[in-house]
Order: sequence, then C-alpha cells, then structure tokens
Amino acid sequence: MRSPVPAVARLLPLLAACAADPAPAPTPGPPAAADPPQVVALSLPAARLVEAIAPPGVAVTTLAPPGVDPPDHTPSVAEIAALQADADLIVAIGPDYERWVSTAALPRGRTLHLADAVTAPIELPGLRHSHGAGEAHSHAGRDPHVWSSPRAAREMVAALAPALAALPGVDAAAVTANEARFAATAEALAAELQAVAGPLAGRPLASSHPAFGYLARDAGLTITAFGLDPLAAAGAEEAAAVQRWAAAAGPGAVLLWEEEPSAAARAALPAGVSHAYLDPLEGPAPGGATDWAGAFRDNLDRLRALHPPAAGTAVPPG
Amino acid sequence: MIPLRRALDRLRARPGAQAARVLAWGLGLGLPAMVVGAVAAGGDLLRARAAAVPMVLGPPGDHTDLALAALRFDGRIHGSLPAARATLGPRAEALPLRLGHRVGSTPVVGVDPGLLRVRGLRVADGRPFVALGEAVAGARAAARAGLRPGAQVQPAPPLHHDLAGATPLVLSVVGVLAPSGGPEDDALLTDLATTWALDGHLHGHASADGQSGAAAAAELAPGTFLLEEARPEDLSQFHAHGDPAGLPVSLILVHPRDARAHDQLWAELSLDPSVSVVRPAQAIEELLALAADLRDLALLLLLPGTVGAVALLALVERLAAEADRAEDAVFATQGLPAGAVRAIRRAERLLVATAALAVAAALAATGPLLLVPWALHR
Repeated sequence: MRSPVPAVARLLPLLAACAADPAPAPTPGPPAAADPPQVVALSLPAARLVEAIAPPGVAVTTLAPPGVDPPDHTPSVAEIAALQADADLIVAIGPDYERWVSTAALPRGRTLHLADAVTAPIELPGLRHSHGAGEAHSHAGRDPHVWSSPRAAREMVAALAPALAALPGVDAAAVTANEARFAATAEALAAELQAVAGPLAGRPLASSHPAFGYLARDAGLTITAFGLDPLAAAGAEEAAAVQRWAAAAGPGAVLLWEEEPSAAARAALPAGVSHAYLDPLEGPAPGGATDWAGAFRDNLDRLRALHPPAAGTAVPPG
Repeated sequence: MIPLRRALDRLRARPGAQAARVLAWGLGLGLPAMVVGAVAAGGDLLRARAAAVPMVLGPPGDHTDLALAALRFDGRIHGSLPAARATLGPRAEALPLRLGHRVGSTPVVGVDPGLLRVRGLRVADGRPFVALGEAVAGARAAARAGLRPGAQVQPAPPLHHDLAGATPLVLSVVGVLAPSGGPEDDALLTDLATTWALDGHLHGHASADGQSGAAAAAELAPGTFLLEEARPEDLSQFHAHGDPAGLPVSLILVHPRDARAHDQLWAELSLDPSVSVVRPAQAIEELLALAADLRDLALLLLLPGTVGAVALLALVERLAAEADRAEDAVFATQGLPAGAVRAIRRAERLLVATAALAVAAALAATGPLLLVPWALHR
C-alpha cells in the first residue's frame, strides 16, 4: 500500500537519522532470563492465588507489607522502579483494590489484573459524582473482593496460569497440573460453601465492611454491608443504620466482622445483634491457614459455627 | 620553502579570487560525496534501528509511514488503535506508543514502561518515570534543551483553540537516559497515561480556586467552563471514564517471543483489516532501494553539471596561467630562474588543491549534520 506522498519527502528521515551518534543499536527483545523468574504479587490475596499454582523455582514476593491495607498502600518510587526493571510478572487483583496501580507506570505487558478475568463482577453503588456543573454520572466501581468467591478464584487462576507458564524457565506442565488441581479444589469448596450456607438461608446477616459480596453470591446468602470500624464506636448515622437493619431483621441477626470488634464497637450497636468474625482473606488470620484454600476452609468452619442460630446469643469469634 | 612562501604571498594578494577558486573546486567535488554519504549513513542507522523492532502494528494506512514513525518516535500516523490491541498474550511483548505531543521541537512520546527493559535503556541520571506527569529525557534531547532531573516542561496543546481538548499538564523530568542510538535519544518519554491526560482523555477534579470541582462550580455561573491545570497534588486523582482499553495508541512495537510466535502473529495480523502490520526491516529496505534509485538519478543529473563545472574551472585555470606568463617574464627579467618560477606555480596549485580538498572533505563529513535540522523540523 503506497501513499501518494512524494518519494523525496519520505527520504528526509534518512537524512535526519544521520544526526544520530554512531552509538550501537538497541538490543532487541527482552533480556535473557538466567535467574529464576520473579513474580511480584501486589497484595496478599493476589499472592495466595499465585502461590496456589506456582511450581518450585518461581520466586513469588508480595509487595504490600503485612498489616497494611492494600487499598491504602502506595509503594515507594524505588519499589515501582524495581517492578519495572526486575519483575517478570506483576500480579494484581486490580485498580479497584490496589488503587495506586491506576496512576503508576507499570509495564502493561507484564502486569496481570486478576479481577479482569471474573466473568460476573459485582458493581458497587454509591460512586456517583459530577464534574462542576456537569451532569452527575457514575464510575464503573467494582467490588474488588473477588477472591472470597471460589468460582471467581478459579476464573482468576485460569487467567493467571498461561501468563505464569509462559515465563522463561517455568515448568509449564507443572503450572497446568497445579491449575487443574486448584480448579477441582475451588469447585469442591464452592459446593461445600453452598452446603454450609443452606441452614443460614433465612438468617439475617450483615457485615461490617463490604468484603463478602462474592461469598454471599456463591453461597446464595444475602449479606447487608455497612461501613463499621471494628476498633471504634460507630457514629450516630452508622449506628442508626444498623439499628434499622436489626429491627427489620428480627431475632437471630448476625453481624460479621472482618476482625474482632472492640468493646466500644460492640457497645455502640444494638444489643440484640450477635457478632461473629469472618476472615476477609486479605491478610494472615491469627492462627489460621496461610494458603487460599486453607483460609477459605477456616471460613467455612466459622460459618458452620453459626448453625443453629440463636437470637441474641453471642457467637464466639473464629 | 621559498617557493611556498612566494606562492602564499601571491594567493594573499588576491584573496577573493582564490577563495572563489577553492570553493568552486571544493563544492564541485564535495556535494556528490555529501549526498552519497548522507544517504548511506542514514540508511545504515535506520537499518540498525529496524533490526531492533521485529514488527509494528498500527492503524490501517501507509506501511512506510508506520515503520518510519516506529523508528523515529515521530511522524504522522493517521488514526489510532485501542490500547487493548496491545494485548497479544504470551506470544509477544507488545509495547504501545502514543505520538503527537511536543515540547518545542522535541517529541513527547507516551510509552509502556516495559520499553526501557526490552530495549535495554539505562537511566544515566535520575530515575525512570513511575507516575502520571513524570518523564525521562533522551540523551540528545536533554543536551539540546538543557534538561536535568527536576526540570519541568509543558507540552504544547495539540489544538490551541480547543480548550476542552486537553488539560494543561506540566511534566516533571525525573531522569535522563544514557545514549542508545535509538529514537529515544531525541525524545521525552513518559507513560502512556500521561499522554492520554495530554489528549484530554483523563481528568482530575481540581478547580480554579483549589476547592473540589463541585464546590467551586457551585460558586460559578451555570455553564462556566473550568479550565484545569494539573498540579502534582492533583495527578493521583486523575482518571478516565469508560474503558481504559479503548484509549488510543498510535502504534505498537511487537517483540515476538520466538520465530514461531513471529510467524503466527504475522499471519494473523496480516489478515486483520482493522490494523496495519509491518516488518520495519523490510519496509526500510524498500525505502532504501527507492533512495538508492533517487540517489543514482540525482548523481546522473549532477554529472553533466559537474563535468561542465570542472571544464569551466579548467578553462579558468588555463586562462589564469596564460595571464601569469606576463608575470613570469617579469620574474625572469629580475633574474629569477625559470625552475624557481615553475616551483612557485606548482606550490600555488598545490595550496589551492589542498584547500579545495579540505572543503570537499568537510562537506562530505559534516553534510548530513548540516541537513539534519531542516529534515528534522520540517
């Protein structure tokens, strides 16, 4: 396909290029990977999914330090520069969770957003806003807690496996086998979740934080989400919202906390509400399993502990 | 030494005429050498750059323009591709580029940060860009504009009359690259997202008085347009509406993992009517073949002129020699031997020839550099 541009005009770059120093031409292609492939997970949920299928010899590190909430974490300039230069694969849940990735310069071809693989994401309401006098509109806000669903976890790992297997020096067959094993485990856990959730079907459930939307959907449960701080007393508006929910729910209402609530947090809420702990799988649970499947099984045990429900009876934390 | 000194004295006596002689011979010999040298050097450099880029993907259009834009990080690409086209899976590393912005004459190129690793680029001073609004300068661009880490530059808006088209955005230069021999040397590199902000695809919620956008707008008359100037503290709030995968890229440098992946991708992409795919090495060879033809034609056209000029110069030299005979007779009456007079004439011709050859050599060596500014800034 030739353009009608005069040939002489198209030769100008030849002359322009002559201005360059006689420096060596850039070396094509990525550098040879003699060292073990470096996989960096930006958060613990992402790291657990990588570790579930990574064969031996793959170095998996987690960027967000323990105890730091990934949505609030911003890595240093040096850490981002190191990711650009050294990481062979960067695995994130996505910009709805590790929020800093939306404005950081990460190599797109080596960065995988696992949440993109989830076929039925949950849209979060309440993000409407306007620009000046313009019409109000909404961002595509997605619930980032995708790892709490076995089915979503299976989809994410299915997307992760080819990227991991393609890394130089990685045993691709082992990745495939691990991924198949994980898929079977996730399916079994999804079935077990539904069985465990069966007796809870009619029980009013709420959560202190919207971290269990995907879990609830997989389980066939309805979990009302609030924004409560487990370490501080709820404000008047939040307490009133819980009060309204508890009054409508009636006896047997359980409030699920992402960490053990303080006495002040409990005291500010209606007395008839039971409190229970459910691991959001975002960080290492005290005394709990460290891998994704083990941590999920621990949560199944916590849900079982809610059988049978007893109105106004405190449920021991898991 | 005496003939040489006498010859110099004679040349100095008529500086204008001698300079004309030197320039006439120098240009006659040097210009063809300059053209041949420029095309050869340019061709070698483009070949080397093309060898570093196995494949280029772009919007449907001219293949040569696409290849040249990929090898110069500059040029006109009509249309764009959605950023999602840079997802080629594990078969290749795809590096999207966004062209079209400039600071003065320096192109501001939106790139994927993976470009630095794939092309083996090294930051000689400072650090790589890691966030929106940051840029690294190529070695020659930095030297030309005096850029160092800490400098700030403001790209010109693509359309001055389109206030809604882009957010005025000041770029912070955070590093300077070591010379690479590639097109990066002459450019400012920044993240793709920064060029999208320059395009106007991203925005923040800052306002003229520092309040939030909604609060400030409430104080202004309805319909007042707020022109945002992005400040560093606002950049973390910048975002796009809609799917980022649909944001535009000008072209995509494709580095297949191996020969098999290269062939598969080439076959697939060549059949896709929504894109152009080109092997720069092939496109450049075609262009250089055209350049060689034109060079030969130019030399052919120059040849009669050159022969004519040389003949004219020879005639002038002969007439000058005839004129010098009267002077030689004067030397003879003053007792200067005929051999000494011939020695002075030989020394004179030697000096003129040496100066003319020096002019020709200087043209051949520096000609490309003299032509470059015009060619670069056209």
